[in-house]
Amino acid sequence: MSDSKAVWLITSLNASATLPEVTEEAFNPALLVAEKMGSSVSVILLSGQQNSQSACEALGHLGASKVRVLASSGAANETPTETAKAIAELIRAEQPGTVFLAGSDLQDIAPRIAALSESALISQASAIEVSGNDVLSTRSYYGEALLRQLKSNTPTKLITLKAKAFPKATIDASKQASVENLAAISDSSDTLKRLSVRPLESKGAKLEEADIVVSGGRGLKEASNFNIVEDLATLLGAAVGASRAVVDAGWRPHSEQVGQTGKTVSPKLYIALGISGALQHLVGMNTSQRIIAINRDENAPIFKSCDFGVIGDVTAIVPALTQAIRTKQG
Amino acid sequence: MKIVVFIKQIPDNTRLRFQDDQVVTEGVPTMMNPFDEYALESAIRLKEQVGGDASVTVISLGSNVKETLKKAIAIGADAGIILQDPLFESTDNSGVAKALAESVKKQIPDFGMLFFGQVALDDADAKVGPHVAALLDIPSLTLVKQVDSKGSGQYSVTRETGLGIEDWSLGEKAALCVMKCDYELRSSNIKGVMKANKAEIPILTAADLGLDAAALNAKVAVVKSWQRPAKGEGKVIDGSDVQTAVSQLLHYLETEAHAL
Repeated sequence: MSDSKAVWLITSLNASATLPEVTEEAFNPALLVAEKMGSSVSVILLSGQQNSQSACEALGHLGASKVRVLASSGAANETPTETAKAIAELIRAEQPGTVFLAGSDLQDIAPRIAALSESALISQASAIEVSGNDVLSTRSYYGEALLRQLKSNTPTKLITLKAKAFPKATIDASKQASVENLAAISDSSDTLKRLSVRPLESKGAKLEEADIVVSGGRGLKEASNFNIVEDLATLLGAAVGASRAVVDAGWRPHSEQVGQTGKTVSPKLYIALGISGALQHLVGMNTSQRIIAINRDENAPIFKSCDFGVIGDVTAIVPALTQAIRTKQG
Repeated sequence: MKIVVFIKQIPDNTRLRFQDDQVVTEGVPTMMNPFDEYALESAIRLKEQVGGDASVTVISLGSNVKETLKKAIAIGADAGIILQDPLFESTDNSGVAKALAESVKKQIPDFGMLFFGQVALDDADAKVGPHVAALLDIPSLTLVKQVDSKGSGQYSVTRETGLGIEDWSLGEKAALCVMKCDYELRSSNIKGVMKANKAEIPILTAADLGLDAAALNAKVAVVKSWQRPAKGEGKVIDGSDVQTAVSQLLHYLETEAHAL
């Protein structure tokens, strides 16, 4: 049974049993493809041991016509190995045309599903288009410098999406999805076991999901000056980022690093404080909608990639700016 | 334990040129993918922890990768294998994964831990490691920060995911995709360089791996390519007067960025 018009969306929940932002974003291209194909969006929700009732309702409001819940029976042994096998079996049995994978921590699972179901996988797509019967995905190469539009030639086309590349789908509380439960994933037969999860200590917004990111670099002169970055970030409800130089110097944890060997962010506003803008940093943030840069060196490359730049000392300007915003906000 | 590290040689991103919306790699210096350096470091550390006859083999698919593998041996790997064939040039990541999986099956059937860099910086695809693991029917973990031997064939892995810092336990057959670790990367030493100079690095073709054109058929085709349009140069002001700079920044945040 092959159903080239069928559109699936595979998703999983956050630690708090809510849908991650990338799932809300994924409904945008998924509904587009379903509309062009004359079909609807069918969701497979990997719920693990979590209660999925409110997530199923939310998926209906986002436009899913059907939600199939794939739970796991063994609490300790839930692994990507077994999850990927279960999904690959469903894909082989039903052969849907397009499968979006957009959930929390699916990076282990997606390539395994591709291997086991012999389906093409296009990862990190930033645009989706439908041309005739073809779904065309655009993704970037060489640090965002080159874009390519790609077409898969296997019966099932797997696609993962770049975070923040698509606007969140509209929520319509009158829409409902039918819900059914799939047979739960059995305990893992392999050697892998998750022993514990410690939540990351993060003040404020999550770096990849934040609408505003405020990042600091060497121009702050010393580690203790990083509170300048944190104060502004807190005031703007922004996430804190850092350049490689200050991460390597031990000022900040690697989880905050933006750039080639760190995170890629694409917020509405990126504020680079005391960051010169080496290419390895730029590729991690140059798809931000707006970029503000403050740096002492007028020849810093960041000024060639920003929308608004100020040549000056961040340790003087930014505390004054933070104070001015506070005063304004009363 | 026979540890394997897969290394990708990539063009230096910062020195790429583009012509007619295609990347020109000719004459561009190459480098070991930065995350693969952490994979190599993690593998050498694990070899040292396990001790005994533990070894590290580095495998790279591509042309002109010999120097990169010699560098890896100079840093601390024991042996290298090159996978090179015109068929590999025209395949995609699923074909590359097949070639890597077959090379391990055929050359190191009693393999232990397999290491990959979390992501290669040229295509940023981050999928070959788990794909190879699925083909070999072994478990895989991505976003790995630390690996330690616990003795009696048990290992612990720390990873950083969207959920937080996760601790896992696993046996000795698994694929680990390593991100930037807190480890200091070691460089080559004289003894290592001498070992690298003497090392014979075999070259295996698709036929050696039992793969033909059909097996390596690309599953994804490029419809079109284009360069990302450069961001127009924005407005840059002199901020030597702090009050002026602040009021202009406030204005921009309010009226352009709508951030206040």
